[in-house]
Amino acid sequence: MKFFFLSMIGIALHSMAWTAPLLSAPEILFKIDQNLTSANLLSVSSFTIHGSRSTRTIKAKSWIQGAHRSFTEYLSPPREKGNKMLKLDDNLWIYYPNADRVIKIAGHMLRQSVMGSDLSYEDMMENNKLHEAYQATIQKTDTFLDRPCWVMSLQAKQPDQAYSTRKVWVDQERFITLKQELFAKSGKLLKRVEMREVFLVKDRWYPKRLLFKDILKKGEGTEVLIHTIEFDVDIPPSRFSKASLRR
Amino acid sequence: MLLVRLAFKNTMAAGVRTWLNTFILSLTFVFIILINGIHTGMYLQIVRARIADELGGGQYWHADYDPFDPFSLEESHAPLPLSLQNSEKTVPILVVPATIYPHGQMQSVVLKGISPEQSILQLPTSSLKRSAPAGTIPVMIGMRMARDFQLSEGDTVAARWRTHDGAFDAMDFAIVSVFKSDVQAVDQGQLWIPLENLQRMVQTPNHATFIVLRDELQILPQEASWQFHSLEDLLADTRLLVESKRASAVWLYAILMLLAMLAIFDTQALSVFRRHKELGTLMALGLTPSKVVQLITLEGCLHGILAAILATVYGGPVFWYLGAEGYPIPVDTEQFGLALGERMVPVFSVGLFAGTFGTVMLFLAVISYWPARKIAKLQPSDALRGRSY
Repeated sequence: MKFFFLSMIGIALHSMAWTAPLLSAPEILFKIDQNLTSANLLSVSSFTIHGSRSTRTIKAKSWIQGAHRSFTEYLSPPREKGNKMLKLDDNLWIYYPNADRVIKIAGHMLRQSVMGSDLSYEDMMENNKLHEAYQATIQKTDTFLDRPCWVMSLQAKQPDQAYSTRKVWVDQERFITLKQELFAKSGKLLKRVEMREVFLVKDRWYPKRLLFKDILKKGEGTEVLIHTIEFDVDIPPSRFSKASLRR
Repeated sequence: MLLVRLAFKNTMAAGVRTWLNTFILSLTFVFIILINGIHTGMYLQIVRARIADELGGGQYWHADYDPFDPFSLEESHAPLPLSLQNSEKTVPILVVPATIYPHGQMQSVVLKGISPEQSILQLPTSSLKRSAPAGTIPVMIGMRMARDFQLSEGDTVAARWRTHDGAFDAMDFAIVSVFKSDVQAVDQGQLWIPLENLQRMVQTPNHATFIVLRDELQILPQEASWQFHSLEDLLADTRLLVESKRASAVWLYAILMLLAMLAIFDTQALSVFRRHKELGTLMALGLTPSKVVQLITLEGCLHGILAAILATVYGGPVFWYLGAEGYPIPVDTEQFGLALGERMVPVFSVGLFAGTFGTVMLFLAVISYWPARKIAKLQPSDALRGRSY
């Protein structure tokens, strides 16, 4: 009988944890940001673009400082090798070694897809932290990738956010978004990001393999695979200069 | 009159040589008139089409607007000035960059907001008043755009754009009409949408990027935010294009003229050399050296008159037919970006005929006089004995 009551209390507490998290929605967003952002970050990743006609993979090495500065060098395939991309705040430059030219990506070019992928340059320019940019509410609990999740609705605090609404599935233990749906102002679903695999790097859970899908575009989406990632590495400030594009 | 009769008889007496020279010269006439007529027709055709579908009677542009710089589009709009809010005399147009997904392919385009009620441009904007399926926005596109993106009337296409604040927004567009225009600048890579819808979509009420005027009338004084562009300014690129085509054709005219003039010069030089005795006899009979020079020059010029008559005989019907009916243009001409439509109608004016005739005759006179001027030194007694000058 005693065991039965203890079990009931245990079940009740467990179900309370599912329906009413101990953390508030903004705190969950803060934890997600903490998990994903780092002062300095060095990664090697590959993008597999599943187009309507063919599939191709691009490998790249990225140096990232905070949310506003990044430098990417393409490693393969041979056609893209040596291309470099520099992002400083809201500015983006691309260097093509074959033409020995640095091109600033602005205006309508930002809307174009990055090398045929489902990501546009605008997507790459997104650099706001979720807890700063969005007002969140927890809608329900769900399971994704066999992990218990909170399904949260995010409303932009300011009208200048690229996506005014997001729906995110947040792992309740690891504080990582396992699935995201990005909506237009009209409520039309624009993009979906789904984790396929996450991994533990030091004390953080980080995406290992994810699928980025532009819903309006035909194709199977773009798969991103993180090969290696190092947090808090030393990156010389000169890495984030236009001069470094030609080096 | 005697000289003219004599020159005509001598020219006719030369037989095949005269007619061969005349035919070559007539070809030159026909070719120069035809090419010039085509260039004039091309210019007028493009200008007419651009005024009707694109330019109106002049335009006011937002100071930052540059149609050749897509980077300028996002910021180059502002509320309409009060003095330009006359729907009878002005058509405000708002230009917004966007992305559409025809058949799942991502394509950069521009959305152009225009009032469906406007009557200044000949675009069929009233079709934007047609009802579209619920939840969609009616748009019209040009035939080239429809062909390039494989879209047709009744199709819907997803579109994404950014509001004035920078947030993404997206909706489905219903294509309510596909229009035909000779002007690519109103067709390729753009969708026409009711102005109020577009202003609401990007949250810029009463904004415009440029304003088309009914008449070429500068309503506002030149001010910082809105710049007046006259038709002369707006058509400058078309004028330059046609002028460059004219300039490139000058080489062809020059080669043809050179060939024709060489033939005439050769004929005249040979004629002067071989007709010593005849010319000496004329001088002995009382014709002064200057009259003899005039005779030879006149004979040369007669080739020009005969060539003009011959050109009229076989070229006239060709000019008349082309001037009335034109000729079909190969579809590939579109790739050059010319607003020419399906048929090219050359324009032949009296000035063109007169100018061409006058120019050719001037060259002929010089070319004929050149070998003849030596005759002035000829002594009749020497000429009769067959001696040279």
